[in-house]
Amino acid sequence: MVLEIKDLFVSVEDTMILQGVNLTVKGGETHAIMGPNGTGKSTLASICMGHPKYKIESGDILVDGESILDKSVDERSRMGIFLAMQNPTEVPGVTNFDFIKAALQTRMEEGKHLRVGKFILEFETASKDLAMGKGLAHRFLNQGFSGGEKKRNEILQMKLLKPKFAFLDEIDSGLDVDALRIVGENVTELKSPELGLVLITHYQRLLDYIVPDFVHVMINGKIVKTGGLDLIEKIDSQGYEWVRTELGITDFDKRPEPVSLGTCPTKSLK
Amino acid sequence: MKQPDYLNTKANVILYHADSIENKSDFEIFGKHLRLQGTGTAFVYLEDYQNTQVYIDVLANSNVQLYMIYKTSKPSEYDIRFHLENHAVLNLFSLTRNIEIVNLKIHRQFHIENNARLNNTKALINMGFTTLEDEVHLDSPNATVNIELLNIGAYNDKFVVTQDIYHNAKSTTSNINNSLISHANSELDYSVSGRIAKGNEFSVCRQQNKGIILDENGVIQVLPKLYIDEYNVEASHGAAIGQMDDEQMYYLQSRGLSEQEARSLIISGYTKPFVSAIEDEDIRALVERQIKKRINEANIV
Repeated sequence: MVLEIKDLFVSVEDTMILQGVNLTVKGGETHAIMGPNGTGKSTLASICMGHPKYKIESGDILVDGESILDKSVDERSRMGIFLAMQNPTEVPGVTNFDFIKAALQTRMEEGKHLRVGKFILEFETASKDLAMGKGLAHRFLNQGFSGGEKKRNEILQMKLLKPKFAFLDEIDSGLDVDALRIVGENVTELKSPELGLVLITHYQRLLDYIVPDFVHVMINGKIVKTGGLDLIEKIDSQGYEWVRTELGITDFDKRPEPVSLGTCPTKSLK
Repeated sequence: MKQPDYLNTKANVILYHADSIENKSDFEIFGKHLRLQGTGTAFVYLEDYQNTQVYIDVLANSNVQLYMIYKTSKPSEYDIRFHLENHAVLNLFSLTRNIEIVNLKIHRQFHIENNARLNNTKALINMGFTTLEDEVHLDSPNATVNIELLNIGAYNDKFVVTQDIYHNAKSTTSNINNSLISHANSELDYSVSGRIAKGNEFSVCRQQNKGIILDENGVIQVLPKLYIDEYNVEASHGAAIGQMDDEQMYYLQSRGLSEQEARSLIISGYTKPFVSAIEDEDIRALVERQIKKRINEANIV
């Protein structure tokens, strides 16, 4: 069970975001990707999920040796890829229960139906594990949820959908200390040879709870350094400046050039 | 006249057909006035009723659940007058059904007295050209109206809906929540107005309209209007109309739902809260069937 990202170049609206990313994630491994803002960490997760906003210029993404570039978002999900999103979308009128039930049903073989009783028990257990409170099943998907509840709801979905490869995109943002512990414990419980994990984060605190096997530093759309837990400590105490110095990266703080949005409509009087 | 099967087991049924009224209920009819008194549930079935004026009075301190089903096979026009006396509660559910593509016009006028409450739920999921005019007068203090409306248009359907709320007394409350779906060439045209005259302080007037256009030829137009001539009130209005939200689609698909399944789930997000609020099982099943039929016929999902 392996996910391979090979020399991936990705652009959005003619701006190159990823510039040759290489990453291999095997079942049972936990990878952490760290890096300054705007270096393409979230883009990497979104492009693996198949977000239509991004354009792959070159390179490949493979699951067990098979390219997934021609797969739609839902096909990738059913193949076992999961993305816990930074800003989960609200869907009014659709209950959590109906949504996850539909997501599980669509994974089943044609003609087979979900055992609802068993699903209800699993849903309630996962909800309790994540301290989501009673009534979650009947609440509308992410509507009116606090930032922390949205993140925990992503992990709840992950627990129930049982993906093979999961990207957790800044799952720690918006979480207080207790919620971070709960999320960390729940994700750690899910660790198994059947799950490859990719954590995207800015801070060490998440990695105190979910200990990674590999730590990658991403700058300017590229993974520029890979190491172990010692790398986290160094980043936490010294930031990313030393990486730039060590590797001779000169455009570390490169920001996109200002772009004109055009002019406001005008009216001319003749 | 033959009543529909889903009403056969109901205790209180009033049938309006052609030029006759058949009262199979414990409630009384005086002339054109149906008088709802006490506590209970009634079913009013109108099929091509020719004497278009109907009066429904909910007497003081009564609490009644009323289901009104309009079935039309030819162009029809109804004028229904409701009067809720002091402390009356009317939970009104209305469903329009037509078996032919015809013009249907319904004008409803409500007068709501002191501490009375109208919960007005309306399903507009019929074919053809439909005009609905709802005029609600909150005539005495603490009168309340809550309106929940679901409108699904398909093919070349056209709906012209006017909702006018008159806050004629202090401390009156109105809440309007419209959920609109347009498919194919259907047009849904709404004018929603709330009026609070000077002196009617502590009144609350809220309007919420959400609409989803599933096809590039579909039209939803909502004009939410507030006419407020008093400072000490609470008033809000909003209209969110758009096509299927790309981010919602992406989110649902990222959990494995196909495009069709995701669309279907988003649409159910419009219809399901409405349907699940219908208490009577048979009527709820009827509405569910009609929505499903309408959506499947129109190939919406």
